[in-house]
Amino acid sequence: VTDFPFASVTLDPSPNDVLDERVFAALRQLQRADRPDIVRRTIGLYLDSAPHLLEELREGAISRDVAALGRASHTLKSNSANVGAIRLAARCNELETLARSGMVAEACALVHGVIEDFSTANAELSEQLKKAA
Amino acid sequence: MPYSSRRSTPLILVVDDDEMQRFLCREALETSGFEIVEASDGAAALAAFGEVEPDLVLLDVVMPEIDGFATCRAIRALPNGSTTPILMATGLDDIQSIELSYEAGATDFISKPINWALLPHRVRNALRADDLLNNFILSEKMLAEAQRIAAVGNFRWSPTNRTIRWSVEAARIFGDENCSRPQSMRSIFRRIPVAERARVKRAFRQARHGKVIEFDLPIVLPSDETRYVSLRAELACAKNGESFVHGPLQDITDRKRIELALEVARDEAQAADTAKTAFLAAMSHEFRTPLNAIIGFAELIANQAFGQIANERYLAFSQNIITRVSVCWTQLRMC
Repeated sequence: VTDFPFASVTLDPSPNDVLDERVFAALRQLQRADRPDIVRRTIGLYLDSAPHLLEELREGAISRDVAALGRASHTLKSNSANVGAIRLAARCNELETLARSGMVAEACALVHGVIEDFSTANAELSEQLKKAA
Repeated sequence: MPYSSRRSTPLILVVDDDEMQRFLCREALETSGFEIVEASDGAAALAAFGEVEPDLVLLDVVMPEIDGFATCRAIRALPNGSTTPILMATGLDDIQSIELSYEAGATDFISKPINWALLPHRVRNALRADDLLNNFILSEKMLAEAQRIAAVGNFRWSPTNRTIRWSVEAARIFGDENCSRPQSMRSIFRRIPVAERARVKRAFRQARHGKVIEFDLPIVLPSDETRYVSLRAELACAKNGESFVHGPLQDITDRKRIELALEVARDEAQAADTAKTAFLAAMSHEFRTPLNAIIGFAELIANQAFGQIANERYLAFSQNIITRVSVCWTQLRMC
C-alpha cells in the first residue's frame, strides 16, 4: 500500500501536505514524445472543472441538499486525488461521507473548509502548471 | 489450442461522467496499446456497447441517472454483453460498492484513485483471463460434441464417498439425463446384470490399487433397453490428496449388435452348408444306379436295337440322352 501514490488519500490523510509529488511523478510516467503535456492538461482540466463543483457545494450548503453535496464532493475528491491535492481530497472524502450519511449540519459546516483547501491547492497547482509549461 | 479472437488493438469502453477521469484513462491505456471509446453516462455506454462491441468495459460506479451498477446489469443483459469483462472503478475502502459490483455482474474492480501505471496491467490481465475462459468454454463444447459423435464419455469414481461423476455423454449412455448430479455407485450397479457385477466389482477394486482396467460390459437402462459399454479406467490423485478412479467409456451397442448378427449369420451359413453336403451325398448315391442303367440302355439302343432307318432315327435321340445324363452326372459329382 505504501507504494501506491494515492494511498494517503484514504488511508493516511496528512493535513500538512497540500500536493503529493508522487502523483505528478506517476503522471509524468504516462508522457511520451507524442504526448508531452499530460501533466499540464490534467491540471488544466482540474482547474477548469473545480470552480463549477465548488459552486455546486456552495449551493448545496445553502439549500441543505445532501444529495447535491454528496455528488459534488465525490467528483471533487476523485479529481483532487488525480492531481495529488491530497489534503483537499481527504476533506472532500469527509464531506461526502457526512452527506451520504445524511448529516446535513456537519456536511454544510465542512463546505467552507473545502473551499479554503481548494484555494491553497489552486495556488500550488498554478505553480506546477507554470513549471510544466 | 489457445487463441484470441479479439482485435489486435483491444478496444476499451471507458464509462465515466467525469471528463478528467476519462482523459486520464485514455492517456494511460492508449500509450499501452489499447484503443479507447468514451461514454459519459450509462445510456451512452449502452449505446456505445452495442455499436462498437468493446473487448472490455471500464465502468465508474458513481454516475448521475443510471449508476455503474445499473449500467453493468444492463450490459450483461445485452447480446454479447454476458461475458465481456467489466472492471468497475470503486473507492479503495468502499467494500459495499465492491460487493454490489460483483452482484451486478462485474468481472473485477479497480480502486480509485486509479493507479495509472497499474491500469494497463489490470486491463491486460482481465483480457487474458477472458481469453482463457473463452478457450476453456470452446474446448468444453468441442469435447462434448466429439464425445457425442463418437458416443464416448468420461467418468470419475470417488471411492471415499462412493459416488460417480460423469460427462454429458457418459450420463446419456447410462440413461441419466442429469449429468451434473453425482450418482451413487450402488445405483450404477443396479444397471449392471447380476451375473456381471462380481467381475466389475473386482476390476474396480484392482483399479483402486493402481491397476489399469479395461473391459466391456452390458448395462440395462431404466427403460429396459440393453446397451454395451467399453470402459477403461485408472487411478489418479486430486490436489487435496484424495485418490479417484477415472477414464473414458464408450457406447459399443451398435458394434456389439453387428458382431452378434454376424455370429448368427455365420452359424446359419455353416448349418446350411452341412445340410447341402449331406443332401448331395445322398442324392448322388441314389442316382448313380438308375443313371448307369439309362446310359447302358441308351448305348445299346444306339448300337444295335433297331434297323438301319430306325437306327438313324434313334441315334440322335439316344446320343442326346447319353449327353444329358452325363452332364447331370458330372454336375452331381461336382457338388
